[in-house]
Amino acid sequence: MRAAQAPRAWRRFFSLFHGWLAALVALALAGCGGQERPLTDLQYWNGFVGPDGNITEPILKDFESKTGARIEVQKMPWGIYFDKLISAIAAGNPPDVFVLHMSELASYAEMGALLPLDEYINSNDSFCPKADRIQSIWERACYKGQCYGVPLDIHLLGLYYNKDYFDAAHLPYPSVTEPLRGEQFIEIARKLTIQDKDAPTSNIWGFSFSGEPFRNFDTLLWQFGGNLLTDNLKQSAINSPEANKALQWMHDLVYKHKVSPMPEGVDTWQFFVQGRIAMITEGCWVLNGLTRYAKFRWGVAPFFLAGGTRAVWATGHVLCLSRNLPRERIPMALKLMKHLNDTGVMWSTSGMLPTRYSQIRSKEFLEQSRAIPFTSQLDRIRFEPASPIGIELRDRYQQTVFSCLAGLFPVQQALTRVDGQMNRTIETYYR
Amino acid sequence: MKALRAPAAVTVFWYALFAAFTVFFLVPLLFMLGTSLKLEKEVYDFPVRLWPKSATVDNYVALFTRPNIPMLRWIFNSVYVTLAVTAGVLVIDSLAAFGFSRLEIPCKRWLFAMIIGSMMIPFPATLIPVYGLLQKLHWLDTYKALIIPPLAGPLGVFLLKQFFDTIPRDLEEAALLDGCSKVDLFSRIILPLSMPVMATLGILVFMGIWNSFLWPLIVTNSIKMHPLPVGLTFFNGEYWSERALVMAAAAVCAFPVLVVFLIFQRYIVRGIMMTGLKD
Amino acid sequence: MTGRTKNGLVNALFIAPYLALFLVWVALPAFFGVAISFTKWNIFTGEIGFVGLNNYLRVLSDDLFLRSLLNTFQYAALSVAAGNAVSFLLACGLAGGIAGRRFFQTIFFAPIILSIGVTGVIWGWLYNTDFGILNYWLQQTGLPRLNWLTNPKFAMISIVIMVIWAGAGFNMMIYLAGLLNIPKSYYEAAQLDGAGAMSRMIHITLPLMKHTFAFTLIISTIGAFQVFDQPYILTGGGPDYATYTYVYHIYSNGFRYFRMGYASALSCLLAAVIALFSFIQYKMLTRRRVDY
Repeated sequence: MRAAQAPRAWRRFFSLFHGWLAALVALALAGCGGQERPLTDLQYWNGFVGPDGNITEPILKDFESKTGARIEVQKMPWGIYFDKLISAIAAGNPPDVFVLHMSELASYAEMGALLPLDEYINSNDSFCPKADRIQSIWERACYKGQCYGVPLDIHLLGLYYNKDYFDAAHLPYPSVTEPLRGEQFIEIARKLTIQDKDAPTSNIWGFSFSGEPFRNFDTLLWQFGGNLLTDNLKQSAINSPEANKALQWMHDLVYKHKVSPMPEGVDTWQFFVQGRIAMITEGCWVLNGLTRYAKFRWGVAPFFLAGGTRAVWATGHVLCLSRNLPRERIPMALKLMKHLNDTGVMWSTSGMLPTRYSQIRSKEFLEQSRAIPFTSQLDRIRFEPASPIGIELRDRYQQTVFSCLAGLFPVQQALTRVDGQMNRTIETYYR
Repeated sequence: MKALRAPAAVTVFWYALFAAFTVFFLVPLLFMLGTSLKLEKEVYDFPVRLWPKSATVDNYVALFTRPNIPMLRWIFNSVYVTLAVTAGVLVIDSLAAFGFSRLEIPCKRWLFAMIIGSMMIPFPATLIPVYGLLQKLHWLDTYKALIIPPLAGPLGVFLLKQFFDTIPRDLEEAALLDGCSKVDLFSRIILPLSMPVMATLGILVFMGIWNSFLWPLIVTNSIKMHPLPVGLTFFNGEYWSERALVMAAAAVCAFPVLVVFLIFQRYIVRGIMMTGLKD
Repeated sequence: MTGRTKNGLVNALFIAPYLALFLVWVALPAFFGVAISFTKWNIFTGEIGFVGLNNYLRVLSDDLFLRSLLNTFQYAALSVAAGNAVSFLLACGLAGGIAGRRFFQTIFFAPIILSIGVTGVIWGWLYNTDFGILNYWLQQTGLPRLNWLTNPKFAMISIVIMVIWAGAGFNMMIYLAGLLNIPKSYYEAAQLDGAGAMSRMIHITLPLMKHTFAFTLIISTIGAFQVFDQPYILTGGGPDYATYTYVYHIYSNGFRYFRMGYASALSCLLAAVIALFSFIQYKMLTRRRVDY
């Protein structure tokens, strides 16, 4: 009896769910089977969300019309970009071309993630004439003597300032080519700072380190003659009198001169745009956004010179290929890389600087007068050390620099602490 | 406590407490909505205004009229994927939960323990293996990648089994004596009694899938395959997130879930009321 | 084949669809994860080598292992206790027949529907020391400002407050359902016996809510041990690792430093810790069956 009833019961059960089951079946049938991408379908992954992403569009359109290729761009905030990139490379499904920062290249290269490019781009001048490459930049796309990428651009820090506030304080604008000296800078910051407890809404900070404080710390460290790691990259050099001076200098801006709030995330930049901060150190990549959103007149100057050595933090975007990229896809990917590097001047409207002499001296580029404060600093750009554990070490000292500026540790204690942490990390890695 | 006459002081206490919590919950929400109605240039005005001086719907218009932004396709993807997963979970998990709750199955306890145990594995450990599997199946960048793996989530089985366990067994014993089959038992007794719990689970799954971000981001490569929250990162940058626009996008994203909640909140409450009649 | 086994296999058809999905998409990857924890695996090249227990022994020399684990315990204790207390309190109020229940219920639930990304943006902005609205209000009322996210003593609490805002509504709904489920007659009888509000709570409400508590507490504990997005977005684990949680550490090792083997070992250890806690919780909550 039970057996006889079962089919009916199932029918009833199915009738209860038939809508859902239909959906499930439809779903199982939908998009059956994956297909190989045609060679002319290129995946290009990057983190250019925001105004810089819009500039990529015409450049890629141009490439599509020239070659008949079709490019699918994946742009997402850098914070999540790497999760996706790593998963894709690990599963053997890499994009054709993807972007890394120069500071990350060493880790990826050391792991064997990147395709060595020497044979494709260095064997002759057809990719880009060697004499045209700004060597100090192109070599940052190499690791242990092998090229792993083609630089798309470089970017560095400058000092942005609010002209309205300079006018109000009767201060002359800083030079676009000569950096302010440290003491000059502090004096100006002091004059621009208005901190009135009774009227907090009209308070203005003279200065703020924007974004992630490590870029500013690196810059000052180099300016005072210090270094993050020893030359062989196998020991921390951060517990030095020079580092002490650099961090103390930053610390003083917040606690002694009281011209700067403590750094607190990338939002700080937005508060400059809002006119709550008179001067800020930030990268050239914000130029377009500032043009679009600032309600005041503004200018850019070179990063100030606090120590005795001219130096400013820089990095660049590098176009890379995965070692897992099927061989037959390489030629097209190289074409795209070449095109992106060739159009460096157009890309420079994003604020980034080109990587070739012919481009950086071209009329179209020089006409962008806003680039001058940045190009004038090209003689002093410095890059983070190309350590295979650079990312981890930076996470370490960034955490400590931040904590020190938030008032958790005195300067020397912070340095001793992070020195130990970094050395232990290095030791574990090389053991 | 319920519907009993409470002293005035107690009543005052509850209303004061609720007023405080309402402020706590409402301020950030108003801030979000207010920001979505501001002009981009007013967003960071100080002192911060919860609500704009003059509200504008420009951001909402902009969301739908940006060139090269397939908003409608993203909404379709989200709706399709969310409904498919929700429906799938309800069918598959209710069957499984019934099995675990009521039927004799070899190694049942071990299997169930394994399922619960799987909730304890953090996501970074399984992300790459699952991705690799999708790649081997050539499922990346398809709806299947968005729908099938989430169907395997253990929460639904756990929740439903907990509730099926509390449904009194007297009813079904009588039914079984009457010659009712197991399928009947499930579809005619357990399921009708649990429809409201299913609503709870449905909302939970709906919300989770609708809002999920990292997984769809990683497994979809083409713009037309993105669900809404992933697509909306096109408006979001580290430095130049257009905040008003991002908040408008968040509001658009949240709206369907709010509607689902408003419709089903009645069932949620009634649902758990009906089950668990007996400890 | 005995009838019993056959019956068992037929019954197994009910769980078969789920089980198939589970084995492929959860168990298999998890098994892979466990296997990886005994190896050094280069995710980019696929090179893999057996290293025995090395990944497990590595925790001994990893200062952030203990730090992040303790942070996670702190977070779990704070968020599970405070979160469930708020949820339960709100549910009690709603069940107590407060006027405008639908309105309150919707308000308290609404934040859940926002994604964590948006929640993070909103709260990061509210919390900002110099430019945030909270400190502005504190100043207006003559109170000192707080370093919500930059003081290691507050940072975790600030995150918990955000998490309560964003998530208390869900458990509230479950508690509310549980409370409404208790027959009114129990309370009326108790009141006739002269039991006060406190004694009604202890002797009627709490015992009858045991199954509900078992579910909510276990689920929220599992969730709390796996917290990652909130500190990642809001504080980046700072200041000085005060909000650096265990899954954050796993993520860093796996996806930033490419040590998948070690990340997997850390994951296995966490799973063991959570399993232990859930087991204890479950045993404690279901120790005694109460009959009424």
